[in-house]
Amino acid sequence: MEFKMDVDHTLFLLQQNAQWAKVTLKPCFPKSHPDKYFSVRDDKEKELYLLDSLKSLDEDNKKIIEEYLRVQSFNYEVIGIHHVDEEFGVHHWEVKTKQGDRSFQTELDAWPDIQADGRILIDDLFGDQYEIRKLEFGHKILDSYIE
Amino acid sequence: MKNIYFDKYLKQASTLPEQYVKKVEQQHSDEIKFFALSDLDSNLKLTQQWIVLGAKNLYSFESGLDEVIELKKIQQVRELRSKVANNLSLLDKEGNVLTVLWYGQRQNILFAQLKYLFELKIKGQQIDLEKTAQELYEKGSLAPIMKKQSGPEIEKKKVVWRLLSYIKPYRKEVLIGGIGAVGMTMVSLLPAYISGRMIDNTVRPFQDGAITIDEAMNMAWPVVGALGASYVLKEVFVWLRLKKMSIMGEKIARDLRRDIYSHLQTLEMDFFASKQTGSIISRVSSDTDRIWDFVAFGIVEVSIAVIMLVGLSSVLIGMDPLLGTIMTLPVPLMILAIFKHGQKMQRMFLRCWRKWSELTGVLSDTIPGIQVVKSFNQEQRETKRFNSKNEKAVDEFIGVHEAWTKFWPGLILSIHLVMMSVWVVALPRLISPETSSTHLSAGTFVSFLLYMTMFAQPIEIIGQMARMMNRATSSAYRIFEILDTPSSLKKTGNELKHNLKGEIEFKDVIFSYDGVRNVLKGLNFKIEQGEMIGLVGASGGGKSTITKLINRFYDVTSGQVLLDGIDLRSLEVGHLRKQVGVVHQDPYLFHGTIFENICYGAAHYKLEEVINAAKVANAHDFVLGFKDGYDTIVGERGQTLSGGERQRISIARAILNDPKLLILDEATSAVDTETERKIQDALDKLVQGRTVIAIAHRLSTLRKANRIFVVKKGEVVEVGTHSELMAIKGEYKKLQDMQTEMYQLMHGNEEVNNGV
Repeated sequence: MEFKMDVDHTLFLLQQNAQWAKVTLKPCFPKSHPDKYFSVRDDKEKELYLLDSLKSLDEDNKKIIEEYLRVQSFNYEVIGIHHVDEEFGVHHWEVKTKQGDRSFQTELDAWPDIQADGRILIDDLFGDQYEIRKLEFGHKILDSYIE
Repeated sequence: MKNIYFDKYLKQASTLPEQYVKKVEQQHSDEIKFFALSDLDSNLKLTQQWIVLGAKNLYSFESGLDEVIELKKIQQVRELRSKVANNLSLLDKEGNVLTVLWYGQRQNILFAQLKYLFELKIKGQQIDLEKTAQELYEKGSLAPIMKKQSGPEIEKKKVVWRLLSYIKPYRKEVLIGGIGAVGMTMVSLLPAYISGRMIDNTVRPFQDGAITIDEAMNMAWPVVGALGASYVLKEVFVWLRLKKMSIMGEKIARDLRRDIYSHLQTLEMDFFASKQTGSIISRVSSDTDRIWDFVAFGIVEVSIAVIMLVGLSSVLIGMDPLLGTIMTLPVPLMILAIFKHGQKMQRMFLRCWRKWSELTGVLSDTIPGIQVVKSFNQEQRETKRFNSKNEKAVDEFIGVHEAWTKFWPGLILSIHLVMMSVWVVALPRLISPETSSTHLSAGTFVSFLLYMTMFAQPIEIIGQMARMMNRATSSAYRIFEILDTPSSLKKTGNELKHNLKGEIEFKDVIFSYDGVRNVLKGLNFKIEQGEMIGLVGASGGGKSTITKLINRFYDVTSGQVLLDGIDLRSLEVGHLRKQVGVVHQDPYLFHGTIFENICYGAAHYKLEEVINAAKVANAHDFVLGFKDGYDTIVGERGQTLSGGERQRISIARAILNDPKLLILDEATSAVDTETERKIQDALDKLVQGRTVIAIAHRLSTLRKANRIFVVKKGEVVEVGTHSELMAIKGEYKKLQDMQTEMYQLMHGNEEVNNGV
């Protein structure tokens, strides 16, 4: 399998007819097993291949796919929590992320999703995802939401 | 108001900065059609880059870095979607990337619209928007927040005041209850005072031989009588308070339930789609119950406690300034401790609530799906899952109880320590000679001791009330969240009550449920009065959405749905829906008789009309098969009837309502062939003289349709009669071939020829 990627991270797969076809690569278990099972799909969402891991790719292609997946799996990494307020209909979070300061809102009934490996994932009202691996500050605030 | 959302929640400007407006309009003499904010850069760092679509150019502005691209150069638009980081790349004719615009999910709606506008432009169409760029920016930026809440400017403390506003209609009860509370507090101060006076004025003088036994008894009896009277009076006040306040609490809970339920009825389908059923039910039931508890007892108890504390402090300082001061000085510290404890409890209640919603989530998940649970023999698994959540919830509640039960004895112990201090200071004065200037009489000290024992109670109540108040404010919060949610349908109050003829037109209809993915992508079609239209296509293509828009369960994102040439949004919703009949795949029957279910929607039908409707719907015979005929009670969700029977009841309901527009949503797909024939026969009678839109997977059921629309990925890709569509060998033919193939596999060739 041979891939190439454009500047906008559009992925192409070299087909048997030597033509490049636009494809996407979708992790089957993006939360629980982000490193296993990837579906290579054409622009009609039809699965072309199912990769059980990236090990089957050669080094160059592996690098391309890793860079592609870096963007695909990107989320904001929270490194500090200033405060979380409960307001009408939402929890309002003020946090520091590796990407910069950010405020976001979650549903009152939506709670942080704790993964088996200890990562904490929070989806906001817009669908943006925030990940907590290690906090510099705000542990106590987070406790009420995860313990 | 909207600025609050931008400033506080999004931390982004509420409009395109003035300097960029000037650049576009003055330097480039261009007209701003649309603008959006890109919040990610190519390195996936947070940024704020303004993207402005003009009539001639595309502009991007980011702290001095301006980029201008002529729109005519843009010949392709490509979108990269991922979990968070997305981009739109604009390409020239040769496929070279002109620019890449990165954005997070927060900006999704606006960039989806931007993409759509680019696509229009590339197709050579005019960008002609109904709304201004500012309106689109506000709506696109805020839609998900606006959907969730309506009053971010309301502070938490205002919740209590708002809750108290529900007391307003019951001023009389509050006044009487208040008199009871104040009276009870005042009267409860009397026995300690009277006892002290009796010791000093009667017991001590008699012990000292200053008065005779007869004189002492003569003095004592009226005092004992006064004591007795004070106890009786106190209980009268208690009765008055409890009766008035508990009844008032019940009435307030009723008012809240009434308001929530009637408000729920005004909310549209998107609200119910965004909330779990269990969560809504608990707001109407247990949350209002907690508020009753708080109003009936909490508010009164706290008020009494405060009055009691003030009264006791005044009396104690008045009786003996030194001892009174020792006793009252630590009170502010104790109140501070209570406040801090309340904050801790708030955090703990948050956790309880989380665990509780997980528990109720299991219930609302499994009880409606109990048939699946049983079919897969998963009762034990579900019981285990429930028990695990139950245990976790109880652990949290135990934590709460442990916290307050630890705090409370500690608080009482500190009160007792203060009392010990009073003893230490009072003792030398008690045993000092009566002539001493600091001497403390036994009677005064007895009064003091009795008052001191009363001191613990109000502080204890305030401590407990902090817990009750926290729970009540959380509940009030959840209730007001519903009450503050506006209907997503815009209503002016001047909507027309138009009697439908049955002509339907979709003009450039774009619709998105989540504000991001367009489920319908610029639909254009016209259905004539009396036509029968079949909607076919793969699931998720947008067929049901079309019917929901006609019923105005949702408003279009852009474009227009016209009924008899009138925009749907200018028609009165209730009047409209009465004229649109819907027969669903899985019809919903309410708990009640078959008669009531057929009449649902209008109560004044004659018995004969109902029977006739049931006959037309082929329901009459099976209804009479039941011992109670039309009076047969059908269970919750109509579980005592088969799918086909429920279907025919719903058809009878539709016949009775005599709708001008009829929507058949997979009406025959969930039944066996024999039942399908009966239903189809009923439907054939029902559709006569009406405009009908029928969604069907079984294409054979649409042979009678005047036209068939093939809906694919939000677009009508083919239109025609069955034979016309078969002739063009497109999507419809594919669907037909697939069904034939499937039928062959299941029934063999012979039946295919006869059946499909």
